Amino acid sequence: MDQHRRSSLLTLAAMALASAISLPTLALAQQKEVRWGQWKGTEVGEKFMGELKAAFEKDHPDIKLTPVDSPFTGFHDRAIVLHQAKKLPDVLLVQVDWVAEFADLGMIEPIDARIAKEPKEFFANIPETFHAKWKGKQYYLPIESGAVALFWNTDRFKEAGLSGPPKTWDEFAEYSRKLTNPDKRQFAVTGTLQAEPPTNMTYDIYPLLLQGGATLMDPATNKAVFNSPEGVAAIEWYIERMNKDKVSVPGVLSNGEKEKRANFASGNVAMMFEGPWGVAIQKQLNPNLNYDIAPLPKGKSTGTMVRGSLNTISSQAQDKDAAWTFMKWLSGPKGIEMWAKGTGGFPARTDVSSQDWFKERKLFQAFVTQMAQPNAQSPFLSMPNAVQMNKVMTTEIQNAVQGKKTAKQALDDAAAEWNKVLAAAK
Amino acid sequence: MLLTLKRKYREEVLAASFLWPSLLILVALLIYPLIDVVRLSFHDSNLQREVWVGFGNYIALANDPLFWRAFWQTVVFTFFSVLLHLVIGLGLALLLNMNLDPAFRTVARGLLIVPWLLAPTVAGMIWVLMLQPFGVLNGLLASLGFIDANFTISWLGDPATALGSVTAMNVWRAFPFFMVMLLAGLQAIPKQLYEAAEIDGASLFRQFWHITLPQLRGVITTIVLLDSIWTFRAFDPVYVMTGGGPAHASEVLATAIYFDGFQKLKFGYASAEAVVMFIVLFIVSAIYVRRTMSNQQ
Repeated sequence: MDQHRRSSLLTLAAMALASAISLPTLALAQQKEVRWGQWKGTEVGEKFMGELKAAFEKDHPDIKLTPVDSPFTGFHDRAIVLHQAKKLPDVLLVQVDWVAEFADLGMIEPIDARIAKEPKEFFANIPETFHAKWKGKQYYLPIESGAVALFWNTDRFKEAGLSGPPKTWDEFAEYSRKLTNPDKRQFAVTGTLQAEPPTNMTYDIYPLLLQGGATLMDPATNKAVFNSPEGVAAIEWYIERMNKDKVSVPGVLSNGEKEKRANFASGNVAMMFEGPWGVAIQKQLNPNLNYDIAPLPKGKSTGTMVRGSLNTISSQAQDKDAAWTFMKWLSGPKGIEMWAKGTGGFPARTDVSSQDWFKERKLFQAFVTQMAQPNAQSPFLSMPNAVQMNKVMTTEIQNAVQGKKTAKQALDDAAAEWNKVLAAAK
Repeated sequence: MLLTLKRKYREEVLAASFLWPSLLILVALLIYPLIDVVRLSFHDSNLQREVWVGFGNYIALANDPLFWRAFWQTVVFTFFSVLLHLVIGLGLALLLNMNLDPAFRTVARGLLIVPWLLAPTVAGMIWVLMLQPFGVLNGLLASLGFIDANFTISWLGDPATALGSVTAMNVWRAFPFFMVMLLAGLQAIPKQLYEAAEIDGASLFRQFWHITLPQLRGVITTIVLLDSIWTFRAFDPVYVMTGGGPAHASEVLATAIYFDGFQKLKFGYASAEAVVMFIVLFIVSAIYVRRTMSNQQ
């Protein structure tokens, strides 16, 4: 009897042990996985990515987050290749320029129905710019945002006897001349018209067109309209600064974002058109640089470009509900706050950017002001192929700066090319 | 008789069984993509849809001034790169082949080969820094008095100098390959030929013209053909240094194909461009293969 009892107890103990061992395994088997394709890992560091993953998994223990990091250079092309190979990650981080293109290629899915199920304040607190739809559908949620504003070197301004940043085009032209001294290799700005990547248009040209009173595209006619007299005047004004006043570091046609940031960090260039991401970059390049940030100078109007990094659900996502859970968590108040604090980025939610901790970040307040001014736009979200259209504009502005074409001819030719792309995408 | 046939058959089967893995890899990695590119070149494709357009892409290519510009710029880039590789490589090989201290020769050869060891992108980035308006080259020219200290040349930002600057980088990076190959060729020329020529009173130039060059002809033809193939399809130097700009001034076929495919999403058109590039390279390769085979015979 005793032996029988002992054997029963042993069997029970063995069963209990087996259950204890198999329970976590079963839980793991039931755990869903979300693969997040992005380029931020290298920029924000492994430590923060680990913290973000832990925070998400703590809130959602049934989902395992796997960040899949690839360098930003070539990310767009790799995503297209992965789509062809049917290997897209579940959630794909994209730039504003890629949304329409990827949507038309069937790489990403609309999320309108999912947003509709969330409380109203979830989407209402995402800046208005990021409510722009492509062909009537919302495809993305931002994780960080920011408008281009004016970085100005306070030491260089003081040396030139200037008390503050320029507020108008006239002041900008006058200050630029005062801040330029080629003998000392000091310049007012770095004109950036490099052909690759064609995102340079974000900084110099598009904001200028808007400030001059021009509009990039007319949604009613689906045509490019930047070749208006206002647009032509804006480009002529730019050419005058570059060619006549020579206020830029030489090599305008080959200067890109890297050169612009390095030149400003060196202290020899007084101003730079840059987004909030530039704050972290300057800190890395030259932590001792004395500078401040102001809204861009006004022409006939105000105007700037808004950019951002956006999460999308890929059409090849294994578990789209799990993918959405991660997307809405990261673009929700908790995720955005953690992202902005951890990366030093500009929060892509108004309920986060209005919090006290963010208001204490003085350098960022110019971006808040800039975003609130008229014409803080992200036209890229309505461009069927922003990468190609930006390239067309870059080439034509290069032609105008070289004197191969007049500003009018260059803008007319760019508009004709844009219209072909817009018509093809209709 | 039957036994011999059987054995021969068995040997053939055995040989084929050794070959098929490599053949399979060749088909998967070379033949299939090639056939697919040719197929795609007859379609209007943006990866979402494929519409048969026959020779439409080729007709569009023939009428596209940007394609012809890229094509001729590729020819110019290739011609000057290969020519200068040969001239500099041969010049240095001749110098290193002189009666030099063996230790000096080894060190010099080791140092001169460094550019060849660099990846094209790394070499490109180094040259981008050197060619900046306030970079080393302008500084050097100013210190030598060739340009005014306040005058800067934007080597990569000026359409007149962009392609030349990329060519210069490409020449710098790849001349060591020519130098090493030609030095090996020079060292293989029998010394008696030069001794006999000296006895006959031939000048150094005549020795070079009538002995050195004919003896190096095989090596020169081979490396010129190989270099032409490599340079004609070069992508990295142009992409890294200028991105094909400014205003397409340094666009070559490889970058044009990339931009048409991945920026404009005109994969059919880009494939047609790639097929044209392939045809040019195939002709050069055929000459190379024919030459190699005739040498073997």
